[in-house]
Amino acid sequence: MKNIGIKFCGGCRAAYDRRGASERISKAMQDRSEDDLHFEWAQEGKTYDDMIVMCGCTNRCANVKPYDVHGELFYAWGEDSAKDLEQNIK
Amino acid sequence: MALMTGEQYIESLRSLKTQVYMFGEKVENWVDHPIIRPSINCVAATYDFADNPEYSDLAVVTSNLTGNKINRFTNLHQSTEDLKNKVKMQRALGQITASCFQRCVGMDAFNATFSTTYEIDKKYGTDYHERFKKFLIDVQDNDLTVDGAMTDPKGNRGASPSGQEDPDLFVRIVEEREDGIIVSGAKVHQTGSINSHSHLVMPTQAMAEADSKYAVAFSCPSDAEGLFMIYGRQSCDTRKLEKDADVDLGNKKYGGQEALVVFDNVFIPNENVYLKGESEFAGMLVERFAGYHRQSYGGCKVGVGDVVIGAAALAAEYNGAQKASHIKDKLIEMTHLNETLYCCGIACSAEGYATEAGNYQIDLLLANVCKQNVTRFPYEIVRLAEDIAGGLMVTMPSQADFRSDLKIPTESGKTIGEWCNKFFVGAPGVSVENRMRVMRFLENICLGAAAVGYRTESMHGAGSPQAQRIMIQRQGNIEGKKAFAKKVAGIVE
Repeated sequence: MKNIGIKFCGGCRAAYDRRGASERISKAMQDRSEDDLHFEWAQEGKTYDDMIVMCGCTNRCANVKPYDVHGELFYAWGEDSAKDLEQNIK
Repeated sequence: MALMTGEQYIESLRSLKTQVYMFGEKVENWVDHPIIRPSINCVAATYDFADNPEYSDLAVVTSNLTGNKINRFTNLHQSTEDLKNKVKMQRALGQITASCFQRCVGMDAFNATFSTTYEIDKKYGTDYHERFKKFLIDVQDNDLTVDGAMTDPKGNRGASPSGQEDPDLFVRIVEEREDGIIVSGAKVHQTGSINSHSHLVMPTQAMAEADSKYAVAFSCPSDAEGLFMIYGRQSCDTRKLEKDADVDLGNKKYGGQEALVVFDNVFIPNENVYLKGESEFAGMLVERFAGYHRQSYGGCKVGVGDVVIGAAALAAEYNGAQKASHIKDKLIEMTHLNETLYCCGIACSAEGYATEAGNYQIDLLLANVCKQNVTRFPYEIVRLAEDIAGGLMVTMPSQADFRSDLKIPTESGKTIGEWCNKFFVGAPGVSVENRMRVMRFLENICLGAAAVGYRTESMHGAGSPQAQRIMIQRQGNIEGKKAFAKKVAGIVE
């Protein structure tokens, strides 16, 4: 079992449906993984194997400092980058 | 206590005994009153916002006073990043509510009072700052909404507070007691006052020594004895009393609120007094509060503007006019104006600085430029929205007509609803009701109840245009600019 945190920026200039995109990316990630993945909204104080960071714009200002992520941070910042993650995330 | 949800906030209001009057009568159940409730829903959105992972990155912060997680609306800004995030949060909330969510005045008052009391204590050895910190910790721990109350009625603008015929036209100390003070007077245009758990009262302007009784700042519960509020009515407000009028309202769920708040001999215990006669600090408190609030408008009005632009674009689509080049150009212009306001809000935040007390203050010149633009651009944005939408937004029959099955006795025998739906059809595939909804939204924001927040509040809220021009003149460094010109032009005097 791997723990995957989903983190959002505050969304003040979000030009796409971040929540919907996060669900599609999570599903794609699970489909490609040999492990069971547990996805949750990121919580401070918890440890994550990887984190999906759903930003609304290119500024990518989501604050990821409070999280302990051992693996990778996967960033989306718009429709295109979200689709790219959906197609390629592992 | 943990952060409240919107529902918990609404329930918390029920335990208050706030005295509210409207249309010449006392309102007993003001929480569920159809005219007031949309404004309560709007404040509730600031609580639900913090509970939503899509927004909590902006809405939840760690208190520098307690280390606890708090709603940003109760935060003391600790950095320029905090100042920028405040503006971003306001924009996002404006997008959700398309209304004034009322909680910014409290946040701006906290930050202004925190830094000012520190400097008063430094000069006079008073303990206002510690008193205020205790109040603020209570606000943070209980996630309270507080009305930052500044604007006095002011009566004759040509006379000072002590020069008024009626001494109550500015909030004043009526009596000093060993355990506190008695205050009387009123605050006008109070945004969200009824929806607040508590009030943080500040002077309305700089004060001379002769006006020291008017140089007073304090906090008090909204249901304090002797305190009452008279609801400010808004254009088209009684539509909210109509049955099945959700389309005609334009924005059924959310709205703003202003009221007259009257203090009729209200007792304020010493621990809740933060300025008492130190008249030279009244101006500092006003200037700092106004600065923060002028920054705020570079966020909240931009968020509302996002919704207005979206509605105008939808109206164009529903009319079948979206491909016209002049429509595209008007949407570009609206976006340009709206993003200019956002640039100002972010810029005055990025150029902020630490006060002596440690919290961060915005750049005053840039914040005043921000608000000066806010007194103009939303007016141009709604003008363009009205241009794009067409006259239908103010001439359409009511929702009841569109849904009426009353037959009109003419040859075809159609109902009122059938006639309306026949003649108000727009682009192919667009439902008449959706077209009606977007038109009514624009009516509401351009000249209905929501215009209070988007238009006139943009003009006068956080100070009328001339107040910003005075600050721009003071901060504009004309002498420095003259020196640049002399040097470049080779002028030697």
